[in-house]
Amino acid sequence: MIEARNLTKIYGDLTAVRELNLEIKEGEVYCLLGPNGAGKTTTVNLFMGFVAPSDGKVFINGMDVSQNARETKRVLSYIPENLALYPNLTGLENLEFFAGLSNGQLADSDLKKLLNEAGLQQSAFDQRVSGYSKGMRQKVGIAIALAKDSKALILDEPTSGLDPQASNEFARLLGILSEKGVAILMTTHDLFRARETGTRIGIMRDGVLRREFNAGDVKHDELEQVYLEQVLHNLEEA
Amino acid sequence: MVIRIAKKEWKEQLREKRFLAAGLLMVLLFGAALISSKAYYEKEQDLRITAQQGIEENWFNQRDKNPHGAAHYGIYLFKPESRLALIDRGVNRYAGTAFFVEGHVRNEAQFRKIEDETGLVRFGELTPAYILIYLMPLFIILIGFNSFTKEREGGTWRMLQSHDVPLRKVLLGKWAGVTFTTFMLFIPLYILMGLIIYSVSGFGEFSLVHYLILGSIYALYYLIFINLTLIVSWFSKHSGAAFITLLALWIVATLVVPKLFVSAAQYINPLPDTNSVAEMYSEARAGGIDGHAPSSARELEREVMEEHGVDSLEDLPFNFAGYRLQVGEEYDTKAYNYVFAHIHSVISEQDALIRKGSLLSPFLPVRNLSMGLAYTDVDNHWDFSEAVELYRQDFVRYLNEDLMYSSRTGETYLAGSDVWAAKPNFGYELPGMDEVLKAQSGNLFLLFGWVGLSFLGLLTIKSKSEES
Repeated sequence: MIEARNLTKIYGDLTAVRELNLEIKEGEVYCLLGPNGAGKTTTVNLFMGFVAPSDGKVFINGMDVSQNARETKRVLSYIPENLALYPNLTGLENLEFFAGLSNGQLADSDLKKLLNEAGLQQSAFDQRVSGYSKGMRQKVGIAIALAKDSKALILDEPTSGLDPQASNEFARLLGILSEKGVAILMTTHDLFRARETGTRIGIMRDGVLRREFNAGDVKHDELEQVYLEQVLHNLEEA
Repeated sequence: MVIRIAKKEWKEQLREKRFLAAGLLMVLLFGAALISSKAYYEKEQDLRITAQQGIEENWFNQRDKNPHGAAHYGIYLFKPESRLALIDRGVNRYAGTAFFVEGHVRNEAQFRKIEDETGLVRFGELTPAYILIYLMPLFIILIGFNSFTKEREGGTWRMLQSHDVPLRKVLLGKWAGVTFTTFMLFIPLYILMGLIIYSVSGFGEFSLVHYLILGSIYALYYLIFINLTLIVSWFSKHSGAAFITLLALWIVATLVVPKLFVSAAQYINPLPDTNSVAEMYSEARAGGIDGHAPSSARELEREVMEEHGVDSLEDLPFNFAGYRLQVGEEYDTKAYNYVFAHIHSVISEQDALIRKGSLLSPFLPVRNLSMGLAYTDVDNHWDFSEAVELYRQDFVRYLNEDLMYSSRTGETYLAGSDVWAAKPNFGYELPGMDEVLKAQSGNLFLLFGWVGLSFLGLLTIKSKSEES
């Protein structure tokens, strides 16, 4: 479970996130939408413990991140927009390394099974990651999350730059994780993907969560309408 | 987890073309240095043996002559070399390795190789020590400068942060990775060098303990650079900045500080030039008896005749000419002792100042230790020079006393092969390991200090992370 209570982050004169209250339950996929500068990435960084909140608290699986930084990381996975892997290592070696950081040594067959499950072509297992496409790297990221047996997964614009087929594949993988009971928070600009993948959608602007609704309650056109209202409102104010 | 990170680092490094190219270059350079050093020392040793045999043959086969004339004929003594001189030639080619031993004069060492070489040798000669002390730190910098910066630049730092990995373990893993790679290159090269040194003939015994101590000193030196490289990598924002900073530190440590302190030492405590030495000698010698000038020894004649209760030198139970020559020799010795004590004190003062540079660069204590353990440093040269001087005094005294006691004043005496054969033998053994280590205790202390300081520096990385 992922939870934020009155979460606030202030950088100098700028309030990047203001009094965010959010709760993502097991198996839920929460898609956080918003224009650039809305505060999505800061929110992700706060959830991951990469930056300390100015006020409020973050809970992962019931544990306060600021109090239990290491414990929360044991149940939390992270996939950024450009998943960074070690380019001179193969996909399999990258998985072995990152999975090993959390779970100790995994058998080669288990690692291969995880990469298979994540949808990576078998021929790519032993290729160096420097030759991977973004979609292939994201699949390794999913495999890492699967290996970690995470309770929560945070993704920062993971489908940005992926072709439609790779995006679909990625959404399918998120579905698998969701079915396993993983609470997922994903920031994205992709309205279509948010509606297709998410169970709940939030729209953020100027560090404030403006709207929140169930993905099933809106049609695609309506979502676009709501989103544009928020963005246009933002532009008018600017 | 630490081993996992270290293995990952190592695997990455092995797949880096940069590492492979640098490693290959180091191996090739080291091989070239080793082969050329071996060839150089074997040739030197052959020359030395041939020269020594020729000199002894000439000495034993010289015609009958006045023994003091034989003292002027003189002999050559060669500084013995340790096997480890093959690694570090130290000051040998600057200071010389052969001493001409003769009456009246304390000569400096001759056959300085540097005199036969072009100015290019000033840029550093290719010896194993050059590779191990100058270039190995560059290799360490090359494999480790981006240890942390590459993680930040590539985004993998965030990935590591998102796992339950304490920074202390990441640091240890990276340290182990760079250390392993460094020693994976160093240890085989050092073993290979040991085998080659072991196989070289014509030198003294091979001491494994001695060799391992020298290797440990290099190893400690590398730990300093490994730690420094990781510290700079941690505190640098970009890989380029880390590399430039480390390169600058390497230049300062291995080139700027040593040159600066040597120049300052020479400027503050300059060694006297040849004219000044001659002047000092003349002043110290003034008023003393000249063994070759009877007119300078009239007072001595009176004293000796009075002491023996005779009225003429011919009535003395020995040849006064031999006695006068020996007294004159002792004046020469006294004057030379004064001059050389001054030179030694200047060198000691210069050394003391240069040693202060060790507080700014770990290169200096390691350079001194390397030369000290290879018996090619100034102290060893000075030690041998003193032994030669003591021998010279014995050698000349033997010949003067032969003149004194084998003839009477006014007689013509020619010594023959029996006298040449019975000359004192020169025996010099290189100081033992314990003596060398005692003499190098200051440098050892400074080296350990640098190692300790560099590990303390690594702790600042830990503190920084805890603050954030």
